[in-house]
Amino acid sequence: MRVQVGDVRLFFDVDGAKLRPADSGLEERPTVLILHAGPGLDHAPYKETLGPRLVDLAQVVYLDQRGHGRSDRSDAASWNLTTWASDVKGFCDRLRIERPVILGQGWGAMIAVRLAARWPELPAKLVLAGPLARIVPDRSIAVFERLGGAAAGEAAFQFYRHPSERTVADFLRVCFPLLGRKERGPGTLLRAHWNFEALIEWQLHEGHEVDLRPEAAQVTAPTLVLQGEDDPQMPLVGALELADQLPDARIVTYQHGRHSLFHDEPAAADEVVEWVRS
Amino acid sequence: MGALVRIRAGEGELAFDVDGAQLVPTELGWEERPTVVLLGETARYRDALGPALAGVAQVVYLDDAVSGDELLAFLDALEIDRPVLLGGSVAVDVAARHPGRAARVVLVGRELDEAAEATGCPVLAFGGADELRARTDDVVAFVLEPEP
Repeated sequence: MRVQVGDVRLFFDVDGAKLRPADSGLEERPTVLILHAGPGLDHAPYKETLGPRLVDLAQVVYLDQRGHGRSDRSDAASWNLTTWASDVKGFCDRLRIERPVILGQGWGAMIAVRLAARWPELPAKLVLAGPLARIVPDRSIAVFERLGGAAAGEAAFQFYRHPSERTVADFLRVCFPLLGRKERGPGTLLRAHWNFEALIEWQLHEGHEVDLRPEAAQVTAPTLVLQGEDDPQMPLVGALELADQLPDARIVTYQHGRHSLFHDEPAAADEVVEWVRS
Repeated sequence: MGALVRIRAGEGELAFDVDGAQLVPTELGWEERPTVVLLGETARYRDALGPALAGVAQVVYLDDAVSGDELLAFLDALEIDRPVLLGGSVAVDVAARHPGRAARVVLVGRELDEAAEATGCPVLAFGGADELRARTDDVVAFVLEPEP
């Protein structure tokens, strides 16, 4: 399904009913709104691992951001955190999604922070998986090199310093496999509707300028931070410097965990289940 | 969604709930599932029929009484193309007046049989909600039948 939000139509999918029969009539369940990783990806990976774990206790809403997946592409000028966060707010208003648990991963977690700082009353709770306050290329390049050797360090360096179709292609070939520690089938890559232009635009512009630390301090929602200690894209030190600013955060780190937390670490999905339930 | 969508054509807002994803991963791609819109007092379908359908389709529960125009506006607002409509006169009305808009109709109320013939789409008719509830498997099979 897609719905008009401001100047764009946004694709969303839903699994698990909001209302379920219970002993005393219909019981309302929480809503978990998933903000996918990116830029350039879509909601697809969450249908494999995390979503199916949550449908027994919540209504799961998957949203493709503007410029991503099956949502309107819009234009590059509107591909920025403020617009993406405003779109999520508009989406919740339009569908009357009240007090959802908002879960963002990586770049999606950055959108979640901007959203929760600007509209603190919107989320009942937050989950930030592999978040960052700001992108410090040298931190990421160092972890890619440690995990994948000099070639990975070089591909990451070129990707962060000279974003282009060619360096993104090399990054996907050499560095993308390092984002998880367990092998994934080709379906993960094939199912996503990629938008590499959005990724390049981000790397060229806002990705290098944004610093969410002041905003993180304005987040009032209880926040679960899940972080792989070996995440090369969103390195531990960056996640911690964000988490340090959050007024009400529970931080769980995974030794050897990387960016594909929900695929690699079943315990991370367990943690989300408990957080939603509690 | 415990949620409401604004329908410009209607009196205000319609509450709806959704169960079952539209896109389900396969080994290398996606299975796009049909959408079944349940009309009327949908609470009575939530114990068995709805969950059974949600295993093979995206189920939309639309509880509020709607006119045909409001239903069309609702479908357009959410870009629901060619749904299976489950209900009575409103389902038949929309399917008959807008050929091709509904893929199929699950009709609740045999007195509408004649009108249902005018829809031009496959119709599975039941005498009432109790009969429908007792024949969940037939409804699931009907929803999954290939396009004629």
